[in-house]
Amino acid sequence: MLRNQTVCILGGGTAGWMCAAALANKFSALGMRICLVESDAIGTVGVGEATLPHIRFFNQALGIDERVFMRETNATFKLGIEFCDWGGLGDRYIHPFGDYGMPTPGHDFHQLWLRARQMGPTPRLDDYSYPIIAAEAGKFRLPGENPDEIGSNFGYAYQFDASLFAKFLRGYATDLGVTRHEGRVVDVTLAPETGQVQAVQLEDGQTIAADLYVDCSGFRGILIEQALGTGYEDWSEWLPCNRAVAVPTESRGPLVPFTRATAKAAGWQWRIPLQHRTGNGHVYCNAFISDDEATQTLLDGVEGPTQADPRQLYFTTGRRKKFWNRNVVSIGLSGGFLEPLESTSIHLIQEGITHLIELFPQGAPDGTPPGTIDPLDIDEYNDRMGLNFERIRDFLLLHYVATQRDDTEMWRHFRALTLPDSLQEKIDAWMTRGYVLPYEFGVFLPPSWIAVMLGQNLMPHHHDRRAANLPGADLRRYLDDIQQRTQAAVSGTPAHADFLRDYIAAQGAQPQGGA
Amino acid sequence: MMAHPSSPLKQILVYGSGLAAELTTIALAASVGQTAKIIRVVPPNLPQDDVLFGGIAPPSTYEFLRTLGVTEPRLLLGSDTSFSFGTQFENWPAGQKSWVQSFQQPLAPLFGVPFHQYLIARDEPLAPYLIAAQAAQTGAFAHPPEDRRHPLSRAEYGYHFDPAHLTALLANHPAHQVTERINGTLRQVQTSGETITALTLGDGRDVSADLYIDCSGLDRAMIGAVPVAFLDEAQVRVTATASPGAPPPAPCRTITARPDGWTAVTPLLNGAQSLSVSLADAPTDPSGPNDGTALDVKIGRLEQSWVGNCVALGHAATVAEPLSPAPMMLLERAIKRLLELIPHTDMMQVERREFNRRFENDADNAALFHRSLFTADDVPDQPYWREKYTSSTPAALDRKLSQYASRGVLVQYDHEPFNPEDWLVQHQGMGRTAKRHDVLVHRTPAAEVDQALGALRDAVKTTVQAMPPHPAYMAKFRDYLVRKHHDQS
Repeated sequence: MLRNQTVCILGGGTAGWMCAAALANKFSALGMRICLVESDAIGTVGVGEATLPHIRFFNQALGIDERVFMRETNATFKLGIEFCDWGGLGDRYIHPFGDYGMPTPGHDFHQLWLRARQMGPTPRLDDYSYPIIAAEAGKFRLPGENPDEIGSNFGYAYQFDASLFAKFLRGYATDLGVTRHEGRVVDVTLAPETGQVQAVQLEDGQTIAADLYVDCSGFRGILIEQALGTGYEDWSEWLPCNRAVAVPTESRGPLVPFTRATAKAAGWQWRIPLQHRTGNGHVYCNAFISDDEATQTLLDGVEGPTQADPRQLYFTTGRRKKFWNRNVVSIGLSGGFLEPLESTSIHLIQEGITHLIELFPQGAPDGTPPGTIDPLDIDEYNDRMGLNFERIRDFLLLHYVATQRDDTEMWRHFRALTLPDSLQEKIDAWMTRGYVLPYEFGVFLPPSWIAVMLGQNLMPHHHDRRAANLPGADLRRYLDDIQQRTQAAVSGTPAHADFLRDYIAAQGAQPQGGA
Repeated sequence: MMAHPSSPLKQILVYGSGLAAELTTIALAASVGQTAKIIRVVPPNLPQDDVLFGGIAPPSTYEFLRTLGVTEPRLLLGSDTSFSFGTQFENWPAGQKSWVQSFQQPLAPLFGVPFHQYLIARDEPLAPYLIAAQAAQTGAFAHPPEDRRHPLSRAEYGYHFDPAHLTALLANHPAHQVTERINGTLRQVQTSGETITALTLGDGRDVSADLYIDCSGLDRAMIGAVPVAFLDEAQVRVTATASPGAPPPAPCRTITARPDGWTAVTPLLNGAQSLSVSLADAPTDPSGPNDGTALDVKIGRLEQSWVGNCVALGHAATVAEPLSPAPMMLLERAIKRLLELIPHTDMMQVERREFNRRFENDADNAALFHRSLFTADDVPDQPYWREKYTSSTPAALDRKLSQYASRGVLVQYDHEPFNPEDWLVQHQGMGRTAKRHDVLVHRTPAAEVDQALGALRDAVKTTVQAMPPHPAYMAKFRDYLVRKHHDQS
């Protein structure tokens, strides 16, 4: 049904090649033709990427061997994100990829901890989390397979060089028949009767026509915005940071298995350790700091010698009014931007690709020609992606408002902010009784909310009343046992650098394309 | 103005005599009985409206009851409960359309593609792959094994129950020993604004608590005293009739459409319960059961089920036609939600807001599933079918139906009581087809797909053939339980 159907991906950064690789993996065998247009003259935004555990499923679906991928992209393992100076100056906590404690029938583990804390001095909730203790010790190993054992209920992600990831996927995609066109788009033709994109013209005179276009052209949104004028929903009201400056540095110190996000006077600074260097960046709001000051803040905060000149990025937080408009699907920065505080950029690309594959346009047995786009597919895609963006937005905003900081204009701005009802309700429920509003759709599950709210000193007034049913002495014994087992499990875990070295040196299967 | 200091929440009062009241009291006693006093006010008569549970409980009831200390052996030996693989819809909504709305584990993807997409592509029915549906149609039953490789492990089962028997069983639960029980009628609910301050009983006594749980069913004896609207969709007449000594029970309930409504027959261990539903003002259909108790019922829900310090549960909060296990599902979910949110003090606005948010989600999502059963081109041109739903199709349901019709996409919302498989079985049963299918089904050679599907069908068929008839299984299982109980005592 896809024979002779054509897809043109515009842009060859992380989003473009992830998209090309995934579409080729799924559809090449069905006769769909995919091309990707990119220009070496146009840089990509990928400045080193931290990811979420979901990226592993993307790689697995493509049949990519983890060892090969990590070698090729200079990747490191990631157990979570360390947040410094967010609740107050001097504070720090790790948002782990995993649950706290162990599954406890009839109780949420953190509720038992809240009750223990009410009874008397109690270790941090972090002390019952294998990924946190391992991250703090600079250690890593893969999750265990026995769910009854400490060290099994966590996930992990990667920190890698995004430009190398794009290059790696480029090889994968072209092996599967994706055609690469080098050149800059100079014109876009719209079909007069439908308003759909009919063709794109490259500067060398080449014209490329396709049934469907995936706009991965980054902030410019060459097709989704410049050609179709789709419009943008500006979320600066909630998340006002609008600029970033990035610089790579030489690696210094032990190779930690986590990304660091340090709150600053007018934004925050990232630190992403890769095998060969460290990625650094400062996200800030130019209403509160000048570009020069922001750059100086960044340079003051890095640990090793810089490897390049700082690079400036400009953005507006928000989302495209329609991610999919007519025959153009915007994936990556062309679809919207949320600051990478929780490493969601690649995840949102992955979500966009997953939903596009599920809702991919196709002909119908009633004779609808291949490539015909059903408006229902567009509606469904836009609904799903809209929900993804909104739920991440609330979670990011939580970091800025769950704070006691009021030392600069930006922090005072957030303290005076009226929150979206959806977020205010979550905070109220947490503060009242440590309750996390549940939902099924959205990337951040209750442990993530718990990590940030507790990490930023939002201590609930009460716990779930049912937590009081366990006799106090039994509860203490139970918690002590988990803490001791957690420490023992971490003691037997190798240093991240050692594990990584041995792991990627071991022979792995070669990438399998075109499954 | 000084803020009102909060007071600890120490006493919880449950009012009601039916299934909702028993379950709620036991759950509260077990969960917060150590830190709060549970007072139960029991009116003299069992409520008639428990027939609105439809005599069917979903698979989740097994675990729900187990956590309350009511194990399956206790349930089976202490009542005339039987096993259920679901509901057989007959001639629904018209013509020869029949299917088993079976309970089912999620269908595993085939070659990485949603299973049902292959069936859409091949225009094949789903039923031969649903072991619970196949077993239900042949009258067979066996417990699903834990071995995930066994075809029967994909089945799920619920129960058929008589609410009066189940209520009687629960009334003897040891948890009641930690509650204060007051037998009496409710004469008056004393309020101050939205807050209930006390109940005045028939003998003149005043009883007060910090939190009031209204399990009085359609009477809404307490929640009716505080300002809250009931959002009704339709009014129907429900007539229930018991048929003792009916033939040995099948492992599924039957719902048959009639021109003026529908009739459900729920097989129990020692008989059957019939339930007839029609428009409230319709003349009685001579073909339907007409010697039972008739209730005129408004279908719908409270605008909010927690108002002030009063929480309505069960039929006091939501009234659904018992076309599915939704009434029991909603009650279980409401009780669990209440336990999660029992306040510490009389400052309970946060708990109230969250409880009501999830209540609305639950009730409205369950209503979509029922409403969908009335959304078809061949709905009979009769008053019950024509007039029951006068409003337009809700947007949330429209999205589900149109996405399925377009390409078999199963749209889900947060925390739906019904899962994608429930919806898929209903779509197929209602004869809904998808215009297109996921093109990825063509990535696998047709012969391989043929082989895989054939193997699944054969496994289901062979397994069902080897399963014993439901009555024989019930008899043997009960004998085993009795022997085991005897050996242990």
